[in-house]
Amino acid sequence: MIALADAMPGQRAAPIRYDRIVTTEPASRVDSLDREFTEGGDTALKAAYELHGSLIYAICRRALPSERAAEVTQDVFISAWKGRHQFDPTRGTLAGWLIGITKRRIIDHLRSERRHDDRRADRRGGEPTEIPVEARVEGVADEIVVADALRSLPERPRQVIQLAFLNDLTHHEIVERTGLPLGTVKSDIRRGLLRIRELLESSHG
Amino acid sequence: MADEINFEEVEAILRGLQPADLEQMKPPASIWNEIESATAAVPSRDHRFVRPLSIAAALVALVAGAGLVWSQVDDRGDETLATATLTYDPELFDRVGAESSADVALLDNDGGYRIAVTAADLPTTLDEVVDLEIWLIEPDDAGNVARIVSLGLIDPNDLGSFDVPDGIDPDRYSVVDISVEPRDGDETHSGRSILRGSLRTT
Repeated sequence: MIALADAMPGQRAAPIRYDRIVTTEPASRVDSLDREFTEGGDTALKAAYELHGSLIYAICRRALPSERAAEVTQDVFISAWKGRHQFDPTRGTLAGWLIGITKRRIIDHLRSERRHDDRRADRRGGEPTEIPVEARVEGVADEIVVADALRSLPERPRQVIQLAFLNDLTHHEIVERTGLPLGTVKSDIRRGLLRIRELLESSHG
Repeated sequence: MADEINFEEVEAILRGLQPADLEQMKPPASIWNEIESATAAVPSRDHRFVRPLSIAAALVALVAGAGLVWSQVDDRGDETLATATLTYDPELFDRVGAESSADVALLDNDGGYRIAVTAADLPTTLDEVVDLEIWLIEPDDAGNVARIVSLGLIDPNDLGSFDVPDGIDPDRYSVVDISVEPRDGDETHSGRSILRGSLRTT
């Protein structure tokens, strides 16, 4: 990797077809599990749950009480499996599709809760609380997706990004803390952010 | 396609995260049990889409480790001028290469050059009909791909050596790349690299 980094220092300013395709079209990379899922492969549901179950559950858990979170997670995977023919792996990732279903289910759930609360509030003569449900659920999902993307980075860029944004250190403070060269810190941050943004975008379907 | 998101948005979300958010949340086992019993009640009657297995697909069809293959090409007595260890970049490369590795050597071939793949662990089974192709890349000053030349197709089970075309100077074409190439009639690089590395003199 060191040798590679020397010759290819990671700047891809000039839009050469080769690099452009490698870096910016994650959705067109057809993942074999995604395809197997839509084709109904024997082990595809279990594999999809093992890969994405904790992410989906984490989103539900952040937005809902734990019992509801478990119900909605089950419901997402069951309905995704039954509706798997609607998933087109050439147009997005399975993770993005599952996250989309999850957000809609959570929104439905919160809306029905709100209607219930509104009726109670009406009976009490109080003002119904206005909750921007969609925005809140989008925000929660984005946070969980970003946290998951950060966790999936290799050890060094993950630590550097954590120091830069969660601990709010400057590039120079990170250099002092880690002993890494400044160039490495900067490129880890840039490439890490690109990767996180790519995963966040694909979660938006 | 997805909405445009800039770095500021990603950065703002990152700044809002707490260390506890980075702990992976393990869903209770009851969730999978429920999913399994609910979906088992509706048996899947799909006819699995069976892909015709070509010879290439047999060579290259789900990524299962091929096991390290050692080349038999070193016995011609050619002098090794440089070597490269090709590695997978999880951020840029096709994930087919995630478990792959390869070592190559640049050999002096009686006035010309050859690239020998001396050891490699390449995907032998993929879900699609593709070939593996080996390339030499000339990087520009910024590290972009300035020029690229194909050396040929690699059989993951029978590594070989590849003549470097006349007029290609390995001092300039110093990066070795292996890519996955769909059989789409397009002879240019697919953009799906799985391994890369720079030649270093020995």
